[in-house]
Amino acid sequence: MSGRTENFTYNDAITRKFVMATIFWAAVATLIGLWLALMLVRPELSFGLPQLTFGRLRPLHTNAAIFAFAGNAIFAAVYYSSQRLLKARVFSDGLADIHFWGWQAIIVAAALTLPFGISQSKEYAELEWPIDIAIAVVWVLFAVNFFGTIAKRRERHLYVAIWFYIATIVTVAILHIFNNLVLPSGLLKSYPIYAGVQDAFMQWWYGHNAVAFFLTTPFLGLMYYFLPKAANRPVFSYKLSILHFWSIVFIYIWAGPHHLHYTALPEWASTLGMLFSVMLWMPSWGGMINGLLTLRGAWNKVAEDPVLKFFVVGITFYGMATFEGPMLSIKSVNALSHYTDWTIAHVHSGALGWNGFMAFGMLYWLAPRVFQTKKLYSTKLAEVHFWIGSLGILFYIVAIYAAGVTQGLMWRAFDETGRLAYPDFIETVVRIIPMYWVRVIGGSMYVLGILLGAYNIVMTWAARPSKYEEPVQSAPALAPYQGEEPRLIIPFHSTLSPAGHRLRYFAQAAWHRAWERRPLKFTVWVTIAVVVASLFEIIPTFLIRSNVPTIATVTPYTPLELYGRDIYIEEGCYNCHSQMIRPIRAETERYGEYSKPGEFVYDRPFQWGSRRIGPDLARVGGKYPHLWHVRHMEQPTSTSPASIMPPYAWLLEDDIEFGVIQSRVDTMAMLGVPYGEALKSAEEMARAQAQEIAAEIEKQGGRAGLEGKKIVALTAYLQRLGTDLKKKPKVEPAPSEQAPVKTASAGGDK
Amino acid sequence: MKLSDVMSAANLSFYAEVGLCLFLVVFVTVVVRTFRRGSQAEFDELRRLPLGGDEE
Ligand code: HEC
Repeated sequence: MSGRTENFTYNDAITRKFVMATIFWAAVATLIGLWLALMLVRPELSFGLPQLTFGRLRPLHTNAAIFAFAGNAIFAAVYYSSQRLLKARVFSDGLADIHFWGWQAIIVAAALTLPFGISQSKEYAELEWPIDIAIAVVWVLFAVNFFGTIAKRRERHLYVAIWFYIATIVTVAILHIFNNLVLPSGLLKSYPIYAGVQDAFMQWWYGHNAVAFFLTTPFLGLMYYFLPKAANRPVFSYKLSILHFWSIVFIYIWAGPHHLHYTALPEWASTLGMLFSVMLWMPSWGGMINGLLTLRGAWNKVAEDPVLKFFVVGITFYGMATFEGPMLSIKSVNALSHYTDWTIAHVHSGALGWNGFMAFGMLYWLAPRVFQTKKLYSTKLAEVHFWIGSLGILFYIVAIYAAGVTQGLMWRAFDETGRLAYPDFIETVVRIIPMYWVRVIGGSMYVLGILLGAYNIVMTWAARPSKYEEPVQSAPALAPYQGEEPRLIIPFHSTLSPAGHRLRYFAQAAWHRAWERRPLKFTVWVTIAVVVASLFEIIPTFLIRSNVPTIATVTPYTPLELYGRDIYIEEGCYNCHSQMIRPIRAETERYGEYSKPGEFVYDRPFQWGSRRIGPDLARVGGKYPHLWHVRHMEQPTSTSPASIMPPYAWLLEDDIEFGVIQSRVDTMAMLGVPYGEALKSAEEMARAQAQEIAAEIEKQGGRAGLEGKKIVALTAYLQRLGTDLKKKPKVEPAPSEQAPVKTASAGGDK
Repeated sequence: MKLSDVMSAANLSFYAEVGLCLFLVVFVTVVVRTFRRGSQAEFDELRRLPLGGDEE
């Protein structure tokens, strides 16, 4: 089967580039995170600058951590390990460089748009459509290069790490494309083709699987390659690793809806998500045990080698996070944990413990090899990083778990008389501020560790030889694949009928060994599994009417409200506020009637949120007079002295761009929103409504002349929220009457 | 009549559960076949793949 021996070299220059990018973005991502943690205890640290507020910077933090830090680490791992596992140089050095620079350009574009409020407001998919297209292009080039390398490989078998990489590449592409289908309304603004419940469904199908296929599968590939490498012993059980792989492809993909328990999602869908989430727990632990047992008999090495220490703790956190994830998907647990810091603690044990430590373990192992220095600049410093980082994680997550559980219990606490024990939301915020300070300390330690790591790797790089060697490798070429059947384990008996033969062939799973050597077939099957599971989940939500019953009184946003809603999106209010009241007594007592799927049919994108740093806003319309909102937005502490919401004073200064309103209404109409009259006169309608609200603000004793300012549009939107349910149905709702200039009732002053 | 009318009338939510079961069956098949005796030698070879790759 093997051909003549061939000589070749590896491209490690590309790995070096990604290594450097990883440490740079690791520092950036965690520093922004630390800054955000500080702003939650000292909101004045935004210095009145829009670009520095929590709502705008938090997406930059999450995107930087996932796509810049973890992303570059993944690429370093893929280029280094796949060339060696496949015994082939990367398919194209040029494509690899384009991949590198393209990816960095995308990250820079994110940094230049998100703080300026250019955002789709879908978590981890905030980047606007032109950047999304760039991501898709760069990803495809990466895929071409990767599969090209597989095609010219000199090793017939694909090691399990390669499977994980294949699943990553295919699935991330699908997720990214389908979650980002939007209709542009200008170069930097768009509306999703999905609305309300469906948009939420797509988003969390994406969000959940992005965790699986961006933060789990590639890191498992990394683990299955670099851990045996660093320990210099093979993985404990190859069978367990196969099981691990298929469990993620077949089961994880189903579990998305568990992010939306108790929301307006049909019952069956979230039950399904829950079941599969719980099932996931076992194979994940199989993976963890597999990793840890690989170190059997090598624990003395762990004591000496910081690389293995990072891996051991990283894998342990994988085990913790994959135990906790299924637990959080159990509805009764979720009822408590959702919207609290518990989720934040969960993702940070995953991100800091699993992703962060696996990445740095790999970097410390790679640095002396790719920079050809034989050893790391300082093993001691890496040890310090390990300990300070581990302690930092513990401080962080213990404090934030405590914060999450404390706040969750306070939200649902009732006193003896059956009323909410803490009716004032801010009480539940003030209580957890001390824990936020502990997070600042833990976070600082973790960041300090990363800075030490960056220094260590830069110093290792500084000791590099004047010219890198490219050691020549040799391996026999693969003879062209003849499609021969893999041998059966129990030999073929001539007494067996052809059908019997086939049965045995199947039972012994020779088919599996056959197509795991054939990357094309393998990839196609993985893709089919992912697509089919996704379709089973998605189609019913889109096509079964009864899932989203229409509500006659729910009408499109007026042009001014739509513009105000876009301000809400730009400012990233969804990072602190939910708009989704769950059917739980503690919530309906606090916020009012629970949310119905039919209320969101004009919400593009949906704004349900995932964390309540501030109260739910789904029914805030009419709760306060207009003037209250003006004062509160200008300086939240003026109405709520202990508030940690950032001040938004510029909204009282910045002008509404009346000129864009018509085109936004038109874009929405193209998506099927029945805008009627507003199609011709969106701008005039917006001006009229603004005039009305501004007049009322003045009457209530507020500043005069606000009719052209953004605050009026935002107020119009906030006053509209949740009010449609209370309206009387019209007898004959003619489309042309559906978008009249509305002023939400300004009563209900508390 | 729109596609969503047809789909709504067809009572399809049941199929999601069928899909779930199918996936479960496939998955269990993979598990069973992976843990069969006999394939050990081949897996042993595969396990060692990461340890090669570089000629020192
Ligand atoms: C850092 C998190 C944070 C961000 C970002 C944030 N808020 Fe808040 N918000 C809070 C907190 C905490 C409260 C409760 C204390 C208070 O009333 O200020 C609150 C209260 C509110 C309330 C009063 C709700 C009620 O029922 O009393 C409104 C309205 C509001 N925010 C709107 C907004 C809007 C609009 C934005 C975006 C422009 C925004 N918030 C951004 C944290 C935040």
